[in-house]
Amino acid sequence: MSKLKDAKEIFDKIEIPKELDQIVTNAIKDHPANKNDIQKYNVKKRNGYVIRRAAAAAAGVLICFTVALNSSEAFAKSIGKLPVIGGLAKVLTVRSYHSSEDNKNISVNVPQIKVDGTDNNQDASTAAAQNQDTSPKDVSQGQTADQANASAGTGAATSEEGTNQFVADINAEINSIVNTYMEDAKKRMQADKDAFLATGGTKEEWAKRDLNINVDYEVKYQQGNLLSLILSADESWYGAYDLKYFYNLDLKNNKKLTLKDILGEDYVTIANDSIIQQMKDKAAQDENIVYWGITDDGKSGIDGFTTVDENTKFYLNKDGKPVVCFDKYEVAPGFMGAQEFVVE
Amino acid sequence: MKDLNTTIYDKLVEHILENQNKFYRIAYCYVYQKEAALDIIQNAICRALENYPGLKNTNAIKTWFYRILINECLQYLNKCKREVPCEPSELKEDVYYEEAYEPKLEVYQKVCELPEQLKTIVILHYFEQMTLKEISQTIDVNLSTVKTRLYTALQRLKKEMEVEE
Repeated sequence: MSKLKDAKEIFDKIEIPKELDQIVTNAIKDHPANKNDIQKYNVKKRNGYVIRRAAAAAAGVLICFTVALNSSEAFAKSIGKLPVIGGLAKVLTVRSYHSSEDNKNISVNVPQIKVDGTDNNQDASTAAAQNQDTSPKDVSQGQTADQANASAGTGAATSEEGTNQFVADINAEINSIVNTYMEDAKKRMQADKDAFLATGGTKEEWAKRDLNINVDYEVKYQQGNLLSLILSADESWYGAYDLKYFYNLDLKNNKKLTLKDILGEDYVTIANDSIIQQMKDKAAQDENIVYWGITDDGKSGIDGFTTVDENTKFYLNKDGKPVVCFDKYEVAPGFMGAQEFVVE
Repeated sequence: MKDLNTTIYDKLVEHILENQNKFYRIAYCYVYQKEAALDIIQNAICRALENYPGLKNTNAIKTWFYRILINECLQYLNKCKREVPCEPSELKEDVYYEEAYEPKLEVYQKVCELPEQLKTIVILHYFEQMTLKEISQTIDVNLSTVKTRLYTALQRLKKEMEVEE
């Protein structure tokens, strides 16, 4: 039957749709039986990248814990020189994980503040020196918790307990914020997925969408007893759910700092004058820049910036100056993004 | 046992990844529709991954997977018989674009028009180069039945070709 050979030729020419690869790899990697890492299958393929992508995704949920020690150069120096006043603080990443399901990446770094006055100065300065790095967040894996705890603070037994309690409260608050955010973000992601599938999207298309949840923090200032840190959370597909929490802590007096603590009694006038002046300066330099209520002659009808108060969000920059922060849309049109003003 | 299962799983996945194009073509020969064929592949893979622990040795993977695939194809045809546009006229457009008349295509078309039972054997034997013994294992009928069906299929094709001429 030579004619059947001809038929085979036709058979072999049946066009393979480009989706096939994806469907096959997805079917394999999505299947619960897939306890194994697909990376093992080093099958040479036309579309090698598909396999690699699948491999990355199929690596599944990978959780790693790191303990990190943060320290600015200034901090490291100060700790080495000064007899320590009060408890010195460190910001550690105690909970950090990255997970990837469905091509959705979740990256979480949860900061926790540690104050410890039990170890001697030498240890502390060594630990800090190891981390002499000007980058505010230096994640050094392999630091043991013990080493991380090796903070200084010999002479401060009196306020120590109060500080510990204060820090524990802050840490609990941070944890609670992160947990709530993660739950909500996952719910939003699920709701989004349901809606996507319900309106005709396929699982494959969903898997192709690149969505991320990030929780991270940045230590802005750390000197003596003062610690300024920003906790931020965002989802890559919903700008509206970005969150920022500002922590400015005085670990000697165990309190959250307000602008008043930094700038004194006159803080409202000082900050307002400075901010309004900066807004005007910026608007004068660039005609596209508008600050509602300040540089628009009231045309927008939006209040925009009025005044700072005790709850105004700010952080301390590396010079220890307060930087007042406004969310996107808070004082200016969205295209200008979030706004920051250093109050000198 | 665990180790054996892992080995079988590995081999199975490898087999699927290596032969996915073949599987697609077979599925396509039954349903003549891209989406349907892709669905079938997906279902067959799921079915295989669910049931692979029942496999006793890695040599059986080939015939075993073909069996699952063909069952999925037949199931699909049974389920939505009315929806499948298995008109040979459409087939021509799907498979081969250029020629208005192409003798090669004609045989292929005749194969596709065979009843499923016969078609399966022709496809596996002539397109997939499987031995009759493998085919008997795949579709779980004894060897002599496979031979009979193959003979019937060829007779029929021959007859049809003669009629055409």
